Order: sequence, then C-alpha cells, then structure tokens
Amino acid sequence: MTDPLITWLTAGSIAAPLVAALGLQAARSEKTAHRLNRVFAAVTALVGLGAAGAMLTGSSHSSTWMITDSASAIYVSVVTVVALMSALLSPAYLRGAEGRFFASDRGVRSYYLAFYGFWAALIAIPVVANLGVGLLVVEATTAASSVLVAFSGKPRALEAGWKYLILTTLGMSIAFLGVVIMFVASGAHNGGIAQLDWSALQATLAQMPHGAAVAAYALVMLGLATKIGWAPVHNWLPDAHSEAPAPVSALLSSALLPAVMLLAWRLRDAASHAIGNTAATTPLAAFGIFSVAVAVPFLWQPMAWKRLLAYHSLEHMGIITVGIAIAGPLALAGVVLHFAGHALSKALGFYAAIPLYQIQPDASRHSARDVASSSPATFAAMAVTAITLAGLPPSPLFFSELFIILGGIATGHVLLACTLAVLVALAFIGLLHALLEALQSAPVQDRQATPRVSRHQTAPILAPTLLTAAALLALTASAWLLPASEIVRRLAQGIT
Amino acid sequence: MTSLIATACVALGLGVVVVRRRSVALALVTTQSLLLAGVALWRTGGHLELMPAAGGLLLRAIAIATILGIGIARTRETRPVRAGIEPIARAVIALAALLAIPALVPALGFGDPNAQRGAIALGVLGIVVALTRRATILQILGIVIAENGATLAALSASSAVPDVIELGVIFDLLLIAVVASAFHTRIFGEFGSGDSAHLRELHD
Repeated sequence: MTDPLITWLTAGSIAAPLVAALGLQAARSEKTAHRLNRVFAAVTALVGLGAAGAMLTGSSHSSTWMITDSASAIYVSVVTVVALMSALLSPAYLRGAEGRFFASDRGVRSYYLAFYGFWAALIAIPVVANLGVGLLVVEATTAASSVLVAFSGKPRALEAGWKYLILTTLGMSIAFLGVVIMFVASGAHNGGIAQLDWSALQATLAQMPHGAAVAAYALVMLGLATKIGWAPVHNWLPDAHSEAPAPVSALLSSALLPAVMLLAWRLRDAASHAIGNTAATTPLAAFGIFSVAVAVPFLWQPMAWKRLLAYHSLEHMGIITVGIAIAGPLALAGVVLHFAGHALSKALGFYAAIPLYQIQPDASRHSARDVASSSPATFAAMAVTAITLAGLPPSPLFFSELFIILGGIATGHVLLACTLAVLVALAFIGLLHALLEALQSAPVQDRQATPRVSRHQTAPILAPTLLTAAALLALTASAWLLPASEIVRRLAQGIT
Repeated sequence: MTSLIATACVALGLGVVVVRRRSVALALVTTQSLLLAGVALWRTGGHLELMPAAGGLLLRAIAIATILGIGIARTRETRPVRAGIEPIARAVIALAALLAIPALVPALGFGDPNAQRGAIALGVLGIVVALTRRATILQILGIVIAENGATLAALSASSAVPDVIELGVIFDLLLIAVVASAFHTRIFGEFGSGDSAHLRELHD
C-alpha cells in the first residue's frame, strides 16, 4: 500500500462523516433521516476500515499533519466499528426519545449533525501528527458531544452535559497553557507548528529547561486527564455516560476516552527522553491505579445499569493506563487487547440500555431487575457485557488483564502489578453482583410493572449481541498470537 | 508593557471573582480580552502576516461579548444568583492561590517573570470563578479567563505561537461559547434561572 493512498484514505475517513453530517441535513422527514443515516454510516465505516487496513499493512508514516502507524490503525478500526454500531442503533433510540435540547422540528437532524461531527473528530484524534492540533480536535469533540449528552433536554441530562462542558473545557485550557509554555521555553524561533509534531516533540522538550519541560508536560497531561476522566478529575464521567443517549454513551466510553488516551501515550513516549522515564511515566501509573481504586467501591453498589457501566469505564481506562505506564511488550499486548475488548463489550452494554429502558423505565435510576424473564435478548446483551468486563474467561479482558499484570511483574513493576491485581479482583466481584441482580425476580407486588416485551422491541439488540460475542471470542483467540506480533513489536518501539 | 498588561488582566480577573452582576463580570472579561487583542495588534507592527491571529483575538473578544450579552439579555434573573461562597471568602481563596503561585511554579523560560505569573494567575482565577460562582454565565466566563491566561503567555513569547494553534484555540473557544450559551438558555428555560445550583441531582 503506497503512502499517498494511505494518506488519502485516512483523510477520507475524516471527511466522510463530515459529508454525512451535512448530507443528513437535507432530510425532509425523520424517516428519511434514519434511512440516509444507514447509508452514510455504512459508507463512512467502509472508508474508515479501509484506512485502518491500509495503515496496518503499510509502513509507519508521519507527516506534518498526519501519522499513520499501528496505534492509529488499531484506534481508527475500533472507533469506526463502535461508531457504525452506534449510528445503526441511533434510530432505535431516537424513536422512543424526545430531543428537547433542540427545537422539536430539528431534533433528529441536529442529533445526526452532532453525531457525525463527533465521529469525524474521533477518527482525527489518533491520526493527527501534532500535539497542538490534537488538543484542538479534542476540544472540538467537547462541543459536539456535550449537546449529544444533553440531547433529551431533561434536567439530569442538562446537568451532565453542563458539567462535562465546563470541566473538560477548563482542563483543555490548562493543556493549552502547557503547549504555549513549550513554545515559550523551547526558545526555538521560527520552528512553527512542526515543533509540536510527535516526531519533533522530543527535541522540542529537550531544548527546554528541565523544570519548564516537566511543568509543560504536567499541565498538558492534567488537561488530558480531565478529558479521559482519570480520577480524581473524573467527576463529569459517570454523569455524562449515564445520561447521554445510549449510542452516544457507547461512543464516549469506547471511542473518546481511549482516543484521547492515545494522545497521552504518544506524549509520554515523546517526553520520556527529555524529562526522564520516571517523571514521564509516574503520572500515568498514578492516574491509572487511582482510577481503578476510585471505581471499585462504586462497582459494589446497586446502581442503574448505565451508571454502573460508567464506573467501569473509569476502572478500565485505569487498567489500560497502567498497561501503558508499564510499557513492556506483554503489557502493551494487554493494552491492545483490553482496548478492543472493552470497546466492543462496553458499547454493547450501552446499547442494551435501549430496550432495557423500554422494559423498565425506572432502570435509568435504579438497578435493573428481572430482565432475564421479561426480555431474554436484553439480558443476553447485558450478560455478554458483564462477563466480558468482569474478565471472566473466555473474555479477552481476562487475558489482557493477565498480560498487563504479568508484564508489570516481568518489567519490575511488582507493586503496581500486585495492586492492580487486587483491585481488579474486587471489581470482578462487584460486576458479578450487578449481573445477579439483573437475574433476580422483582418482588411479587412489582411483577405487573415488568411485562414480557415483544420481539419487535428487542430485535435491534439481537444482532449486535451475536456479532459482539463472536468478535470477543475472536479477540480471545488472537490473544495467543498478540504478544509476539508485529503490531506489538512496533508499539513497544514507541509511537512518536 | 507585558507586565502592565498582565497586572491589569489579573486585576480584572479578580474583579470577576467578587462582582455580583453577570453584566459587570462580562464587561470585565471583555475588557481583559480586548486588552490582550490590543497588545497582539500592537505587536504586529503593521506586518500583515501577524494580523490573522491578532485580528482573531479581537473578533473573539467581540463575538463572546455579543453571544453572552445576548444570553444575559434573554434570561433576566428576577434576583442576582447568589454564589455559595461569600465575595470576601472568594477573594481570599483567589488571593491565596495567586500568592502561592510564585512559590509553587518554577521558572518556565518566560522573558518577563510577571508575564509568567500573570498567565498562570489567569488560569487559576478561571478555575476559581468556574468552581465558586453559581451563575452559568459566570462559569462560562471562568473558561474565557483561563483561556486568556494561555493567550497572555503566548503574547509574552519572543517566538510567535503558530497561527494554526492561535486561530484553532480561538475557533474552539467561540464554538464552546456558542454551545455553552445554548446550555445556559436551556437551563434557564428548565429552571427559570441560570443558577447551576439547580444542577445537583446527579451523585452517588
């Protein structure tokens, strides 16, 4: 695959959702918008997967604007798959939803405008070759995704969207201050935007006084932390993920957080020579392990399904971050596997909320009950999600967590790996508890409230459940090959 | 020159921490933004290639004042939204944070140490305003103050921050201001007040 072709395909994968966003505005009715959405989603996904395939088979390439390497390929492919599923399930959500944030006659079109704008930004983040431009794209995602979070216009959704908007924008302001310090303190005249290219950032940081380089690195990392939702700057995360429309929750959890984390990963790799590996990696290890530790107590509480999944996002982002901090080949194999497995299973979990809330409207505030008998298809989706996220074999997350922990021990991070192992075990018990609750029968006096639902209501979740289960099993099978693979070898060499 | 501007910007930011009325706070932040745009325009020395970023800052100041001004005019509060923390306490918190900055932050390579202190002080003031004020408009202004901190830092640099970054930040901030203003209007429509204290239902 030639470099220009890879570049064009990658540019196309960003342009295609933007075209879709504008094209959908021409729809005269909701029905037409939903039909157009299916077509645009399929075409956009084809271009995205084509770009990811080209990146995987081609050699790593970095220009002023675009980086196409193994990490980009993995992220673009997973983001595309999740965005496609979210787009295809959006009509099922929108048919039963009121979008009061927008004027009623424009609700569906505005949803698709923000959705595809968000999709484009999510694809752009992993392939942008420059820290400064990457941060601009991350900030742009906030505008599109915050209105999606508040789409229903209900007080709780407004609260979640507002918190998300204010906290993450403040975080990005801090990150930009760090970027400006890089320009000011590097003293490189006329270096221009290229100073912040991933390939040049190491030299830029090396030109800075050590204290200034550490401060700039810390400010950018803190800004990214607010967007990734690392504890203790995670306050917006459970609210936004639980109140957003289910297809958007899936994008937030499975695509946005890991994509922004890729920026943090690239920044760590670029900074580790200039400021020292310990100074560059310690914040990642601290954020990671603290995020898992903060999530665990919430995973033990009876909680609404989507909110529970949101706390699992906190936990799993923490696990991936610890893997990136450890950085050995085995841990990085775990990171890749965990990222993909988490994205697919978490997205399915959020999609399960679409029929779940139709069966049990109060499940948006309380833990779900008696789902198995009232809607076996919905329960199956929840079970696949819960078993996978809990890391129960044959879940790929069992192997990814094992890889990260063993990778930590192999590289001398014994305390970090052991702490992670204990926390993951505690989280495992919490999620199984939630699954058992969903199996439990409702009290006799409540039985009338949970009638058995029609096939029509649960049809949209059947296909994603089967496809996701198959994809997860395939991921598990790939776990045996991944640690010795070319992809992991390239990742271990550094991704800047 | 930069020292003077930095001091003026910090003083205006402190004003936003304590004032009651949203319109007064907007006027203070707009003055701050216009000051920075003025410095940027002055620094161009008439060179056309430096004009886009300076012009963008001017446009940003005017656009945000217009967007939020319209937002305030359309959502008249029956009474001022009281902050959870009294003005004196807010001022003490802000001043304590500002005084701690020189002790906590190392030299970052700024030619003018006052510019460094000013830039970081604005970042801190932006966070203080966003976290201690309850009016949604004031929380948006907190973001603008924090972004003005990054702008002040950029203006104090001997080597220009690239236009791509400057214009990109301006574009993003305008986008955020439009979206935040839409949120403010929806929140006012839902609760009859732009008081973020109404947004406290979600917790575990």
